[in-house]
Amino acid sequence: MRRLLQPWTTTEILVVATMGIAIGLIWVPWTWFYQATAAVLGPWAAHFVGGFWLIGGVITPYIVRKPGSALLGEMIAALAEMPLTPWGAIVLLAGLIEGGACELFFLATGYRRFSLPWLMGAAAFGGLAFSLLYLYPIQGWGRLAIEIQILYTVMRMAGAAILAGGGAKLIADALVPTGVLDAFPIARERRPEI
Amino acid sequence: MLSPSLASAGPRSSCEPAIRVEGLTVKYPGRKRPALVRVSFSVQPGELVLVLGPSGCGKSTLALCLNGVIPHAIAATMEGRVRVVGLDTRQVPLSRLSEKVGVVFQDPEAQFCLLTVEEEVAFGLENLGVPPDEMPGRIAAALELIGLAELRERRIDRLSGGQKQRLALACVLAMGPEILVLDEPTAHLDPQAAAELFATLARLKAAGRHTIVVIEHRLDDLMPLVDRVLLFGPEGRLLAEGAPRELFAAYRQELDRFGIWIPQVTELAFRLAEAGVEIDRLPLTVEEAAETLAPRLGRARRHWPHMVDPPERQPAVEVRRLSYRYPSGPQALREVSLLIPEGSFFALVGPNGAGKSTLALHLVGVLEPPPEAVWLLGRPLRAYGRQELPRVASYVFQNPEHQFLTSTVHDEVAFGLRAQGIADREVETRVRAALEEFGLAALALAHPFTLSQGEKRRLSVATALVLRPRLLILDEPTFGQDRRTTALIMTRLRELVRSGGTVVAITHDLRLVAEEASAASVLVAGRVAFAGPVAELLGSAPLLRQAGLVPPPLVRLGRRLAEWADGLPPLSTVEHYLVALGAER
Amino acid sequence: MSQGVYVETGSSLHRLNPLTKFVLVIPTTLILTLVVDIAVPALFSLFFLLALLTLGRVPASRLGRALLPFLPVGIGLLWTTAAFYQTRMAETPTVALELGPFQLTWPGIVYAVSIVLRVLAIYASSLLFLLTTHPTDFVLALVQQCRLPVRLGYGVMAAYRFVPLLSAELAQIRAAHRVRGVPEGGGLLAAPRRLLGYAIPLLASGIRRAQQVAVAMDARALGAQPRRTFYRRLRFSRSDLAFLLAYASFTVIVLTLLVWMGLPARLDVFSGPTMRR
Repeated sequence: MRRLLQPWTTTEILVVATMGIAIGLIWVPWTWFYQATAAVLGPWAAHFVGGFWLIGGVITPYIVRKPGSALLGEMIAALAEMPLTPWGAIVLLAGLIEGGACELFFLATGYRRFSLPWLMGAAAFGGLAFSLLYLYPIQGWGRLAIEIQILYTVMRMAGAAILAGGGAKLIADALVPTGVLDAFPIARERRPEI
Repeated sequence: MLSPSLASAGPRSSCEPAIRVEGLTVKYPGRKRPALVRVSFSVQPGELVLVLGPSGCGKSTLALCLNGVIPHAIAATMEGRVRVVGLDTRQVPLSRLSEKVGVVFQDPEAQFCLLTVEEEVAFGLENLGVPPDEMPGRIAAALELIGLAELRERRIDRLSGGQKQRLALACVLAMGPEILVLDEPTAHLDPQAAAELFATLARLKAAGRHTIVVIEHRLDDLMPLVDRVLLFGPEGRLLAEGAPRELFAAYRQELDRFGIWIPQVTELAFRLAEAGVEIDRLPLTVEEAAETLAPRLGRARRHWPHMVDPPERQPAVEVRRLSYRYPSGPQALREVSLLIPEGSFFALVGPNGAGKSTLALHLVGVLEPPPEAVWLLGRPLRAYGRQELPRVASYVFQNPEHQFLTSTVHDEVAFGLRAQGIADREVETRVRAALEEFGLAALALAHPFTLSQGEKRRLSVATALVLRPRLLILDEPTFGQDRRTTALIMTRLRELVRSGGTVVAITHDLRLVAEEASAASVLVAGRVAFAGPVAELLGSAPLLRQAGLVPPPLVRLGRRLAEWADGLPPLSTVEHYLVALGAER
Repeated sequence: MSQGVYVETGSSLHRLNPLTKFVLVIPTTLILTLVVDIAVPALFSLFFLLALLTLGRVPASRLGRALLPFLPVGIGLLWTTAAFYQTRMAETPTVALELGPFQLTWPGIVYAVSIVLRVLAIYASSLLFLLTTHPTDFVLALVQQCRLPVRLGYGVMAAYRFVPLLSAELAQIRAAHRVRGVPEGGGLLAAPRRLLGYAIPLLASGIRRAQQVAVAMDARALGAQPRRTFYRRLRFSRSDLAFLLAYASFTVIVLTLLVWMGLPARLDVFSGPTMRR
């Protein structure tokens, strides 16, 4: 328990905030990719692509491993994205739901499990929460055909697991050898003293 | 022959030193070797102390220890004791220490968190809980002190790099510290901005209210202010301390070996002394050098040995009336025409934002010139294929990291060779040779991002040179580099030029221009303001001012000496002085 | 880029407390989510856009540019919602349009229009906030009024300063990679690899800089003292109150009209009974 309640240092906050802002900026062109996918392949594929919006809630906990990092990473990314996307301030609600869900998932594991399946699980759980708590009420999914509802939700979760869960692992693991994460648990667990 | 006189070690007083460091050892978690090892020294109130040392010697760690960020905010183990104005940093909270010790860091982009100048200065006061009605006065006073009073409401992102660094200084001054620590404050500044920062520092020192510790490698304009020097060795140990004149003389070999810059006039004096010129007092500033060398002018040569003009060669680069405007941006180039002869070292200078990089990016096809506007080795650039161009022309960016594509030093050098389809055996031989030449052989398996600044720069130049380009463009190749890296890179570039290649350097470093370049062009506001021999550029004070350049110390010294001796040719490099003064050899 | 759609006009809307403008998004979203209707979201959109043009003195061209990105979103949502609409029991599925395998029914089209207008109105409500509030002021208000931890608030502000730096650096990295002969474009497999090649140096330099800023902020005693003062205080003024009252009255009028025109049938929480196709 004590391990979970350590206060955040300024360095940790700044790194999470910077990751969040960088991710938020990646999401801006991603919005157009998402729209293009919807137009070309249809909304089912777009929901898979939309799963990438969970990455902020996965990559920061994977690096920092401190309670709150999932919620914080996703919320800051949403904050950075907010002025630049056609969704407006509502993306903060989206961030709250997605980041909150990932946060609950990691808390349930005691912020101890960070292998790929767990990262994908966290992302998928966030995708599920986003479908139920955001897309249903805002986009009125309730009146769509039931098969469509299921298809959309499953695509969201699969996209989240693969794009956000897998993507977070890919990016963070590629960052470790650059040495900039040496002060964080992700680097310390795999690098000997140098 | 060399007889440095002992300078006074600055103002001494018998009261408690401003800084007392005793047996300081610092170790970061995850590192085997400590960053600092049993360091002890003290600094008297009002002194200005210069800290020198090779990169990675723990100078920055020392700065963080002086204001208590270590051990309070950064998790590092600290042994020994640091006392600032009588307070033990371990026992006093950070908020109290930050009122006593202010630190300015090197990156102007990594010190601020707010929008406007005044808000940023207020930030530290807010953290200390200063009542809001006291703040305007303290903010105004701090901005006045560093000469930014007019910019009080300016947004920080509209400030120049030099203004940002002075703002950083104002931010700590407002908190009322007695001790100022500056950690390579000019590392990211152009020479003019650096000169302004040093002028500000001179005013602070003259006012006498602060004890100042400066970690710095640009020494020419700083030396008049320095009372004492601390010299660190590569292992985080304090090697020596003393008055600068003594220390430079006594530790010349170490300074050379570690690649630490010394003042250019001091370096000149060493070289002249070696050549048999009698130097009775080791000079640290242009003034002192002028005094030392003036008596030797009687025997100076008035006439240069006849220089053989290089044979006319075809131009490596020809630019014909090239204009360019960035999409939704300013007009960057206006009808630029330029000839760069093959086999020359060409310098491209000018103030920030004059269009130098824009022009250079056209020469390698990153920005696509209109047909017929840029010619490379007698062919229009547009006629080169996408794969062909990288074999002919290379470009070394200012920030080496931007160019790195792989995860080891070895693969980084091999990348371009493999892309050309060269056989593995040959790739291996050439990579190994290049790593050897650039002093990177021991780091072949390291990740490029983990290298030191000098190693990164050497690697980026190696990746370009291993391809044996006909044209190599470098953006600020010497910027922030230590003496060893600079010397090594210059040796390699000279070899390229000697073998018929062409080097184009975009630079603010006039020493580099004076020593290496044969011709130069000045770009101002997207137009060519000058193109011609380097000597002509260095001789024209108005032109240099227009280009935002400060004449380097040896040029200034040459001008001073010319006042004493009529007909002395313009001197700008060590070689010139050797020819002029060391003729009896 | 760094401020997104923010337009500096120094109007009375700009001078409102950021939280006043932000908080409106919440009741607006809630109301609009519960109501399936065409008039209500249209009226809300109009309210916010007019407020921006008049009170906010935002030029129509800038407002238009801010609204432009919504166009493809709206069209996409309109089409997919109408195409996959499941007709409810009480409705007559009059077919309006047949496009290949898709049948668009009138109730479906009406529903899709109402959903698009809903998302537009939610967007318009946040435009009021976004066009007139600098992000730094928003975080400052969160620190001062909502007790957001000081370290976190200022940390986010500091990181926000990286936005223009990161985009400038991205341009540099792309140019540098091209010089080394890495081709732009590329297929489905090459593109992600190339993007990762941009992302890693960009993130690495951002993270390194973040750690330097953190040290610089610690050195200036951020959060070292529990008692913190503020040079610039963001307060709630009378104009904040006036604006909130205007919004509240508008909402009450719209909702009264709605009830008067027969609201209950239009309440929509999650789903109503559907008819299987």
